[in-house]
Amino acid sequence: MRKMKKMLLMIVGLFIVSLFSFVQAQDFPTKDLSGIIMWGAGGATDNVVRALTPMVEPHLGKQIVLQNKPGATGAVSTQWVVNQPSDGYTLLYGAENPQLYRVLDISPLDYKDFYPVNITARGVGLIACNVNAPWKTLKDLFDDAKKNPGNIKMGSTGPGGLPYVVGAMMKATHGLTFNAIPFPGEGPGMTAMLGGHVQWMTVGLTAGREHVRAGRIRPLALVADEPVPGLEDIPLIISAYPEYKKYLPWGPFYGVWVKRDTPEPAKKKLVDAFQKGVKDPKFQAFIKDFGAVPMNLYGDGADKFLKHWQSVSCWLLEDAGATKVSPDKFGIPKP
Amino acid sequence: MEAAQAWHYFIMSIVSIKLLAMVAVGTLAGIYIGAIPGLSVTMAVSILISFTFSWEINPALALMIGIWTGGVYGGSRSSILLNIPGAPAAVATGFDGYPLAKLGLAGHAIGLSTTASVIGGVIGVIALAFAAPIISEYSLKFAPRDYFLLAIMGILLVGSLSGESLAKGVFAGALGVLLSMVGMDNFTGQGRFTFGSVGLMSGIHFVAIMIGLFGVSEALVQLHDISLKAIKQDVSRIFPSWRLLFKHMYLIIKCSFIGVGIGALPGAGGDIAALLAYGHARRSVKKPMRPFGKGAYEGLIAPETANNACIGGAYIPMLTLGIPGDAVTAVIIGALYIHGLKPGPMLMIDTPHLFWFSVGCMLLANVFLLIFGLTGVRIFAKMVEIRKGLLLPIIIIISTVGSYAINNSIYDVYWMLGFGIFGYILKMYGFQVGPVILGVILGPLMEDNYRRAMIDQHNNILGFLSQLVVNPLSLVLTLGIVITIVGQTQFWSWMKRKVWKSKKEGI
Amino acid sequence: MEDKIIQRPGERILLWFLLAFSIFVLIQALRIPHLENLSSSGAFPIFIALILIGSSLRILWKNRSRYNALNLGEEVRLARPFALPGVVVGYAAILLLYIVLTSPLHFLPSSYLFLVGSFLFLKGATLKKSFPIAALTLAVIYVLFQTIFKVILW
Repeated sequence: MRKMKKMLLMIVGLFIVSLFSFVQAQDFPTKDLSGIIMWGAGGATDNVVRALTPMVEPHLGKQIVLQNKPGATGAVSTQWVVNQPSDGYTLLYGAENPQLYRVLDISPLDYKDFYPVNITARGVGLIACNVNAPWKTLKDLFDDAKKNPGNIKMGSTGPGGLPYVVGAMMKATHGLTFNAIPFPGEGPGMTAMLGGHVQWMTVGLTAGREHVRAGRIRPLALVADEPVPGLEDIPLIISAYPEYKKYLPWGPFYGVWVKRDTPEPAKKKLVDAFQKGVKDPKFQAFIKDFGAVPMNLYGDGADKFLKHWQSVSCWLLEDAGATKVSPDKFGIPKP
Repeated sequence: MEAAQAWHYFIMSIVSIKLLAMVAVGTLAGIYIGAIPGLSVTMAVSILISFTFSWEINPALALMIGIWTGGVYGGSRSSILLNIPGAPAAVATGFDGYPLAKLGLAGHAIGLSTTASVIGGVIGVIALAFAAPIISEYSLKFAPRDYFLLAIMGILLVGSLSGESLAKGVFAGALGVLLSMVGMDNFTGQGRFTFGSVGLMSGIHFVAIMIGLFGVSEALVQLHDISLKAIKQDVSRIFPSWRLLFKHMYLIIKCSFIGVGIGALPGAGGDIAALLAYGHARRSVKKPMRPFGKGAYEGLIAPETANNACIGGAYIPMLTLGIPGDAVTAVIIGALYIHGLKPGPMLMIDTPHLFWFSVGCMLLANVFLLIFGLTGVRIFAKMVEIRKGLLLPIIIIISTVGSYAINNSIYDVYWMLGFGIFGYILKMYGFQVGPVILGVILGPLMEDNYRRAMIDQHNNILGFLSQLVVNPLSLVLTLGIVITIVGQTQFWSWMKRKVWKSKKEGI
Repeated sequence: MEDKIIQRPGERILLWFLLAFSIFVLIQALRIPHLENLSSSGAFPIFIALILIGSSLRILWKNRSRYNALNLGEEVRLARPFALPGVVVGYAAILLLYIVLTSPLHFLPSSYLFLVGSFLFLKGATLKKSFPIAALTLAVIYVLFQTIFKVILW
């Protein structure tokens, strides 16, 4: 008899709970979300994500459970998220890489298949050289490179990476070629530059700025079209060579996406929460320390930025001969 | 900086109960994280980043250092007991640690590995404290060609790991290198051996290969005598005798230096340090107490000392240059950013307390490591006495979950189980799995740096070869390799005989 | 004479298979595009493939007399009890079943079945004890990985 009573109570309880959740179903989210990070622990993307997520969670009222699913420059993650239901519960935390998947023949997906919830920040490239290198300005480097085509050792991080694309810009505008030595990431490349094993490299501000401050590398130019607060004394690339204007702003960026066909209310809720999270002074302080430029774009504004980025990068790679499929085939316009 | 100030920062973690507790909790948690294959220190620290976001930097750092120290050591536990390296740095530990467990000496092996780890760890901390600037400058001297030579030096270990036949060892080693090449080539973005699949584009994670080849294949071999009772473990004596320690003190110190040196190199970490140290022990110890590969204490001491000494080493480029020495330091650098610090060469000027505070925490973590490492060993050792019919399936489930946890990918589980079966077949026919994993770990180091050095010389083979002997550092490494090869083959004894003979004839 | 030879039945078959595999690797390595110089994507793979072929040929050649002690029919017959005794074949089958079923059935059910099945097959526990032991193991793993380490199991 007592057992029966208990059972009844349980059934009633379950009923109430399910009713409750049904009522709540109007208000996304009703359960914890899952955040898929396309790069591994300790990378720049991972750092930004792990700093941002705790700021956003209170505005959503639920947790975002973070998982790193690295592989094939993030293609494993994009594929995974596409295979999940379009309910807004699976977030893709990513960087710029998917915009190159089609021309590099890595995956047919890119950010056209995702809705930009928030493009949080972007990095700025710093052209710097070893302190023992003979160049004092960007012009010195360019003049030297013209005289010694293919001989100056440049640190790189593989096709599509920041140093590679900046190198491609130089090739496209000035016909300069370098002896590009690839490293598995910015850290190892920077180390090689400090040790003099490569002579110059385009590095992210995050790592580069501190070495400039310590006088261990010599800054030549910022790959930016407007000054970066706190670094006004480093010349911009466009002040010496205005022809780079058409490529800029260019740099790695970090953000959050959901599948395109996610229901509007969920998108809206997510956009709002991330807007508030990014504006949090604590996160803004982090972004500043991190040496990134805050963006906080979403929706159409973000899509416009993504399209420009893609057209610049894909065509630069195409001209440098690094693409497997021409961007023309996908209807990506020239910048 | 004044000594008094430094001292103040140094004892900060010891006098504050909160920080002391953080280091202790971290170390204890680290040991278990390290012992479970698939759970890595990198993972634990990155979870801690969000978790400790609102904390002060000091307790967060104390916790991370504890986890790191415990985690590097913890890998040896599962390596010794189950032949599954809990972490890549513990691969070499299993070469002689697991045979010891098979002899019923698991308790003794754990005691010895703990002591060796702590001594190595402390030497690493001392090197960090007193030689950081010098070591960081030296680490910058390593050019791609030097990393290449280092990898060659490591790969020579195939010679001692191949068991009955060198050719089989070479095959296994090359197979490992091949496995490491599957996936996207990060020099060109070109897929290699991918057969057009996105899953293969990201490669086969080497931890999945490692868990499969060591853990699952060993479980399958054990099936042959499933009915046999598990060996009784002797747990009467855990702490190794002082005599044993003193006898090997020279080896311990040498391996600590290997650990610090390799750890300080931004392109090589604890796994490579442990392998090189193991190789060094095999070459330098002429009369081990038991043959190598059959439970030699020397073969256990060397890698365990080196991988913990590596921690101090890896901290050096991180603190002095803001450059990660391995995956864990990369995550810690991220944590420093999130806590509002600016890792880089100015870090120690902006936040002077960080250096001596870290040194203090690391030393403390080693003390806790000694305490926690020597307690509870009996329970652990008794674990292997569980009936095989129960233990083996549980090992396989842990391996499954562990390999999934690496990248949250089910493919890694498939690979792990596949390599388990494949490794079993290899083992049955006299191939050793050690060289395979050696190839997997050292393959990328060798290939990438060979290609960098080649590009550097505009693909000129003569330019490349001359680089290996022109630069003093490279020359030393090259000579080391030549001596090793000569010493390992019969060439040396043949020469000696010949010279001796001709002398005799001359008289 | 014959009894001195340590023969592992099936080794020859494995080696021929490994040789074929190595040749396949070489063909694949040669198909990696852009083989222009010594630092190309394909250079190292070709080198490794050659080592694989060379070392497997060397093993085959060195042990040729040993391998020839058995004819192929005998070898196939003896290989099974040597490398694949009933318990290993049976267990490998259970493992393969687990591999196939684990994704569609999800982690907990498939692993539970696997554990119970293995315990019974390997006679690790009686039917009655298998169920609670498997449940306990999975509970510990679930709490550790999913709850503490946020590894969302499939």
